[in-house]
Amino acid sequence: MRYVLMCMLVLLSSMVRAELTIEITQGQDNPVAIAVVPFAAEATEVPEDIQGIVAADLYRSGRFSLLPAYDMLSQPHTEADVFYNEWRAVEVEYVLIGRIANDGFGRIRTSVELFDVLRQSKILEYSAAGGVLEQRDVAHAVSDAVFEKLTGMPGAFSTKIAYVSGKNEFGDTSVSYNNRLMIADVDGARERQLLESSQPILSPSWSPDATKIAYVSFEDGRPAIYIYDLATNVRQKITAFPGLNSAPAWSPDGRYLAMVLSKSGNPDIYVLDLETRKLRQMTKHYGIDTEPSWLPDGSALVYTSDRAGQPQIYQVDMATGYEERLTFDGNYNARARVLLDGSGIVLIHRSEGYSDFHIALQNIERGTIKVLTTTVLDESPTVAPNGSTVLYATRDNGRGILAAVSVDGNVKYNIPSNARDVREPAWSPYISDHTFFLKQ
Amino acid sequence: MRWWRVNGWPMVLTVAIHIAVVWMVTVGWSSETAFSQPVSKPSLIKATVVDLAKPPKTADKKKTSTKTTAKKTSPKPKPVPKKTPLTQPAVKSATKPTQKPVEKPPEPKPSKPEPRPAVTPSPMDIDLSAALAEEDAAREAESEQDLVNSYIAKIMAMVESVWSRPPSARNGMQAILVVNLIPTGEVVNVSVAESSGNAAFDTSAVNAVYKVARFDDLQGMKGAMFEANFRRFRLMFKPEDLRL
Repeated sequence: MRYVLMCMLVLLSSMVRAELTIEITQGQDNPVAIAVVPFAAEATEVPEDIQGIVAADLYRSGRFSLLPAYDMLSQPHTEADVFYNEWRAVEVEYVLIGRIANDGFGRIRTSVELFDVLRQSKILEYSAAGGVLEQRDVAHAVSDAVFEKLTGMPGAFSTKIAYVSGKNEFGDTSVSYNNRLMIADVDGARERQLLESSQPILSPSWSPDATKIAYVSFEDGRPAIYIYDLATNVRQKITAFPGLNSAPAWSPDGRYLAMVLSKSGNPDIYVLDLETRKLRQMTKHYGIDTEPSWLPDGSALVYTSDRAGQPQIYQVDMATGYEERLTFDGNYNARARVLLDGSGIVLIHRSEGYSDFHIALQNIERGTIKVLTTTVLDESPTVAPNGSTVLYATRDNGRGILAAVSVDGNVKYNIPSNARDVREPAWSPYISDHTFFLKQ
Repeated sequence: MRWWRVNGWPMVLTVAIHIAVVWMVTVGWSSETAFSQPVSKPSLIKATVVDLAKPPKTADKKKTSTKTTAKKTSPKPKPVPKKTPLTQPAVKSATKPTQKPVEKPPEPKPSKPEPRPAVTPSPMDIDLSAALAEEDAAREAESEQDLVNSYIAKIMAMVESVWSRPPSARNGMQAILVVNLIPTGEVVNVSVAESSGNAAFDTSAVNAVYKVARFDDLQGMKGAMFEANFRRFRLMFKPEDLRL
């Protein structure tokens, strides 16, 4: 009887709770261990270290820790040679193998396979081909595919950056050459000069289709906004109003250019319709309004204003013109860039009581600000199109360099450049046609 | 908007507290009653109160009442049935007298008193011991629940220590996995019962369980507890500590 009752009680309690549910609300977010096995080179000529570029891309994303080649118990090139226990023994979660071969059409094809060690299955098969000059694009395409499979967000390794090198605004005399507008791969490779000027060049901004760059030049002695067409290498002056013409920012649909003009007396935010050339004034305030940037859906602009006595981030709605202050933490918040999914704003931030400027991330929903960088004098944050990484300008041993930090703040690295002094970075949108950049 | 900034959080907080109180009152009590139900209160009360109060008087009255007032009491059937069951407990200690009252009542009124005396003595014996057993069981279940909770905490810690969220993960995402274990704590199967809508997020959760591979702390658990709770359970992944 006792036993039966106890059984009934156990049954009852288990019925009350149904199936046990355990809730996990925290994690460690350690990098995921991956092995990039040296690829089999079956092609006659492989001009680039494809596997090395892929490994470097994945490492720089900060999401992966790479198993050194000397720790690999074997180096398979085909699925049949992948023994999961071997990889499990060295605590690797994913294994990437690949082969590089001539595809018979004068191109070199890289084929990769990605394996999930824990679940013992192949999760990705991908291949990309290109000419001798396109092999870095091939490698970045492989990185993008692997990154997307493993993280759920597209990779941004195939994108470009634009930046300015040369004399800086502090009158640095150690630089022998003039100001140059440059573009390069996001890893700093394949640097290319677009134009050179004896006068300052500022604020490069990519068009959404990555075929044009808007920028500010002082070549006439005073600021004017230009658009550089990457396809034709032709540039065109867009605005040269009296006073300030600065901080161009392309709308997500590519039709409008937001900018700062001071033709009415003090700097305000304007939006120029590139088709009709109609100008619309978005802010009217005696304070300084500057550094406009679009929300990903184009419905509003965020900008910096000192109307409250110190620079803070505001937002103006495109349809209604309604203005709203967004930042309340710290005594300096400027140069806002909104993440593509609208979840956060990257900005330059100075905390109350400190003198250093850092790159910080404000969570839009919660309003909390987290400082991402430890460097000082950080400037010009620009966000990767996938929202995973922030590129910014900072100073190192008295010279301007470009540095990157992941949005979670865990990974920081510097972008190599041949130039003496680099600043004003702008991360390109996704690029649909890579041969576009090879033609010039 | 500014009004909302100032009053928003306090409002949300008060509403949340109200909801919490209502939830505690309703859900919390219902579970308590579910546990206390098996303990049958009425039998306990009868046994203790009545037993010692009127054993001698009732015994005397019964004999007289049953004999003399057989016809008189017929219009008043209420006192008779009440008394007869009351006498029974007293009689219990001395088992011989019970036979007489039991035999006699059937003659005047067999319809009402009979079922009671027949039923009451047996439940009382059993109910007492059963209630005690149930109390013990409830207490045991309570400590057992504590033990289960400690195992849950261990499982949580082990999974949290190896869960690497993908960069696309956001606070508020939610995936539910069904995990199957064997008594050694080894994971034999993990399946996604409810997807977060983000494949990489789901995969990161599944991989976290596979990375644990074996919940060592579950070894040595009592078989019944394992079967009831951990043979198959659900793991809900719902990050709250992300930056975005």
